[in-house]
Amino acid sequence: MIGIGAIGCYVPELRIANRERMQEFEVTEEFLAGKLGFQAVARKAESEQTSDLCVKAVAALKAEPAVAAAPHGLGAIQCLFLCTQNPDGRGLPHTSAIVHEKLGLPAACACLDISLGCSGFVHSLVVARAFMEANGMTSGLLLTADPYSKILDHHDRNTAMIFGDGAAATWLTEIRDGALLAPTRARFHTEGHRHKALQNRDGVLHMDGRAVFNFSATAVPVEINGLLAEAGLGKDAIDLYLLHQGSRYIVDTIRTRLKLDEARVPLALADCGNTVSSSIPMMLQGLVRDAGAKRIVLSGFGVGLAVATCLLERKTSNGKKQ
Amino acid sequence: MTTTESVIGIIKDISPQTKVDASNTGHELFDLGLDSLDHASVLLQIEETFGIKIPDEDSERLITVDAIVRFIGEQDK
Repeated sequence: MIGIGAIGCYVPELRIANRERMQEFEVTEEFLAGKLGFQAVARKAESEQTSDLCVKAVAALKAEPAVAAAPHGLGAIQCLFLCTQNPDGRGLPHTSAIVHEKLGLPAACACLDISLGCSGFVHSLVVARAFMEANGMTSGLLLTADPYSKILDHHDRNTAMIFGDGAAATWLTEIRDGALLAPTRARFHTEGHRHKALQNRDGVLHMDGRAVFNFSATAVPVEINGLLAEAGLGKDAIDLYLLHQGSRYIVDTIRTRLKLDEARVPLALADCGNTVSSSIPMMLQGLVRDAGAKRIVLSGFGVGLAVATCLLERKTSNGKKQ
Repeated sequence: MTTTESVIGIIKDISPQTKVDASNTGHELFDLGLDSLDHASVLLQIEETFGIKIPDEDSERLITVDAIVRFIGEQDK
């Protein structure tokens, strides 16, 4: 069985403080802290490519205690999934192949780009696990890196204070000793007729905030409740709900609609912004290390418009729950 | 409960600090303390409560309690 061995993250050092743009965007400090939830957004250097962000996230992954302590580190990587909609160049070749070269990975390694936005980590995690198990693989990488700064209108009030750059590298490995978090059940939901609500139009990101908000506030609670019902679990059986950090407001709205207490629906990334498909693995990083959380629900939502929701459970090598 | 009272209740539930009441139903909600995110929440709650759909082209003018109540009334016809 494949589980999450460790997660490494990379956030560029450069920050743009939203507080310094309050006048330009006509927002108050209360709005920034209480509604947006992002004090600053991270920005990659102009010269940094998406593949560079991935390589730096993998370097962070290699420094994670679980990897550093493993006898062969990450071992021979047999597959590399890269979730992005802002690839190197124009996306041909696929950026995962460029990362493959930069990391010096073996030839016996499948490299695939997955085109998804904020639901990308959850979708890709489920795909990667199934792909690995179907092909008898024991070590793979799932990378998320979607630097929206490439396509932002930096004077657009709807997006400029929200999206930050960053990347995450998730090591997927066969569960041997101990127990790892593994995706055990998932639900997917797509409303393709709403795809124009969030799109790259002639090289610039456009977001219909109301449409994205309405979709997220209505579809995500239904998906999470559906997942719990299918799993035969009550809300209290889940230690944590990690929601994509679209903004503080949307996370709070979904939490309120699900009638969950704040402690089980953490807020994060105030210092770097909404990092698209990397927001969930960035929150998950510490939880993978700490064996405290046994069951976690992940829900990513956005571009598509789409939602992907999955249940992570801590499993041992024989598939038993810990 | 009248439609006006329901709408005021929805707004106060979502944004308690908004100073809206029966005496200022013609005032712009943004002047009374509602922000754009709460406005989106209010319209969603109105849609769900009254079983109606508020198109984008209408949402921008639904910025007073009176306008919202009038819009809801028009959907019944």
